Amino acid sequence: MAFGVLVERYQRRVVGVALAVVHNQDDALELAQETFVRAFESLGKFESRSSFSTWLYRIAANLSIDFRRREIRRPALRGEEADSELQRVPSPIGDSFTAAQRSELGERIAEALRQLTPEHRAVILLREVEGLSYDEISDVLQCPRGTVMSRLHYARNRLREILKDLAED
Amino acid sequence: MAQCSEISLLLGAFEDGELEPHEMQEVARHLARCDTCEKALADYGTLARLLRGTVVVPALNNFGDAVRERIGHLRPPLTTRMRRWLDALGERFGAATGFAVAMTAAAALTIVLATPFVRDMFRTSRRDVTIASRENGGPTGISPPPATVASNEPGTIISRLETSNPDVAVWSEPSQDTTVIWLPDQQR
Repeated sequence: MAFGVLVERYQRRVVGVALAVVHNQDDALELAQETFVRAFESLGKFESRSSFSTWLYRIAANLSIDFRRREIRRPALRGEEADSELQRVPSPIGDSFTAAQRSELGERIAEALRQLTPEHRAVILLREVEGLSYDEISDVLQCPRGTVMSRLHYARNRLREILKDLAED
Repeated sequence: MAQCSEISLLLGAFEDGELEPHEMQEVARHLARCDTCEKALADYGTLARLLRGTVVVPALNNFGDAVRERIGHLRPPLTTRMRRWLDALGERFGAATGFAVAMTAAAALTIVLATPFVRDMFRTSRRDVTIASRENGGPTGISPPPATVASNEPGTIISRLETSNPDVAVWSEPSQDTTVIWLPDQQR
């Protein structure tokens, strides 16, 4: 299947985009699969105003942002309900930034990232880990380029402040 | 020389190569003289390396297969299903027969869709319109319309009563139980 070639080519980055927004590996993988399914269904609607990759990342980002909003809206669980729900939570192996948490350094960075707002975290991960340009981030997250710049500036300085000792080392 | 507060806003974009040429030049000039901003820039670089080294995308074993399986379960769009059906017909009965069957199906569909209009059209054309004229028979000139003339016709009967007032007319639609009488607005 020709579409399989596109999946192979873009899967890593699509998962990366989803991960940058939702911060959970299992959810990111699921959302990435959904991204490709949606893209397959909407191929006829793709207009070459933006590149295929940007279009694909935008689908991933939209799905991930919607997912995150739904997660936020879910009411907090209490008492027995919470206990039973906790038993269903995946093991830490499937949690976000698993590889990062394997080391103390990784744990520090994961913790620092958690202190950022989701918007700042998404922007800095899309830039530093996924290597997207400012225009691509602007297109994918559907916010002005200036907003991307200011969010990156804030996120970098905040991380620099939190990880001050690491940067000095 | 630009202030550190102004330059610090551009440092990240400088590192990313996302500034305009004149801005790149300005930041580079500032960095050559400012240790504080140079240190900040170095920290940004370190931070980027740390992030790239520690935030790892999960293993993608069987990811492509999972996507292919999900796509395989999707219902194809109507146009694709039609094309496949036509292809199957062509394979089974030969291309010409398949085409003929498809055309017949299309014609049948057209007839079914157009039937109400056609029926309506025939009904209109069959409707017999009888114009009965009558010479003036009395001083008033008004007498019952000659319904008997067209009583065997289910359609419209138009009876124009030509009296001393030739504008007076009666229109009768027995099938709809309707009668309309026209009279002139003004008598001259």
